[in-house]
Amino acid sequence: MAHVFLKGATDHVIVLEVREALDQPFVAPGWTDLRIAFYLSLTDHTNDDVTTGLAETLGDANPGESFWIGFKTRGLVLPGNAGQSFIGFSNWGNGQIGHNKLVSSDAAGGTSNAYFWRPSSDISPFAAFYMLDNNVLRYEDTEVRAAIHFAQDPAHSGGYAGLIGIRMIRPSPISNQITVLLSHQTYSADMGFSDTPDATTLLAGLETWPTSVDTLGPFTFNQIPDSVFCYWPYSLSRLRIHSRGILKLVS
Amino acid sequence: MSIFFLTGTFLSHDAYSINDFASIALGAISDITGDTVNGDTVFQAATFQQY
Repeated sequence: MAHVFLKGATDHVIVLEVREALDQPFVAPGWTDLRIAFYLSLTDHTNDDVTTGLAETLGDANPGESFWIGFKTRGLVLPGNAGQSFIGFSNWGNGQIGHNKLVSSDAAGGTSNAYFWRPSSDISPFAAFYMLDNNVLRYEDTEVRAAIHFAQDPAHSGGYAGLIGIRMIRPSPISNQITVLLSHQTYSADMGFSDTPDATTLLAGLETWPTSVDTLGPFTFNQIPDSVFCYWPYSLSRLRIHSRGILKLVS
Repeated sequence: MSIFFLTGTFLSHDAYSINDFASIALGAISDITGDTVNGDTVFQAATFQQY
């Protein structure tokens, strides 16, 4: 069962169990600009605050062996299955044969190759960003700029928790044409790291969206996601959620 | 009229829910309650499941 762990003096962290998902439906009627963001980190499978020794290779990249973080059709059926829409980060591989991995990385920011953890796969070393409409693939981004990272060495990562986010826009409140604006750094979609991943810091990140973005779409979505979903498939590491938020801009 | 911009300056929002879980007690949790903001239910209750 998931639990809340105290990191430092004040950070209440939700620690998901091994291979546990969190699904939280939302209501945001008439949105034209909807944003979610998380401050996330990893810990090992038994200790709540160990960020080393997490490298792992999983079995074939089916939905249960893939990580999923983003918008999803509400409910606990994993993306990659019939009836599920998903817009977010994953290393699913669109059903291709291969193994998913968690690998050590320096996010091209050093030479130690030990600053971060990065989801990876045989299909794409940088994992990917997926847009699935009722399990129909609308877009798959497997470029390095879609990679996300988790702190392994907080002294060099910039903080122990990493910020990732997804911004969806559409031209009217009833439109099914969804465009995603994804943070686009040279070597990642990361939005920064912090040792104070609290609500105030998260809101600032949501409000001040990166100016360097990839514009994905517009794509037709007949089934628009209405839930926030996190699933971490690894057995040697667990996902920690320091904060999460949703923001609907005026329309 | 939609306020629509691709990059740059934040304008304003009419609903949000930001949670750092500071109000949730330490220890096991089986759900997270929803949030109501400005009269709108933003987040509904969360559930967990292991696969």
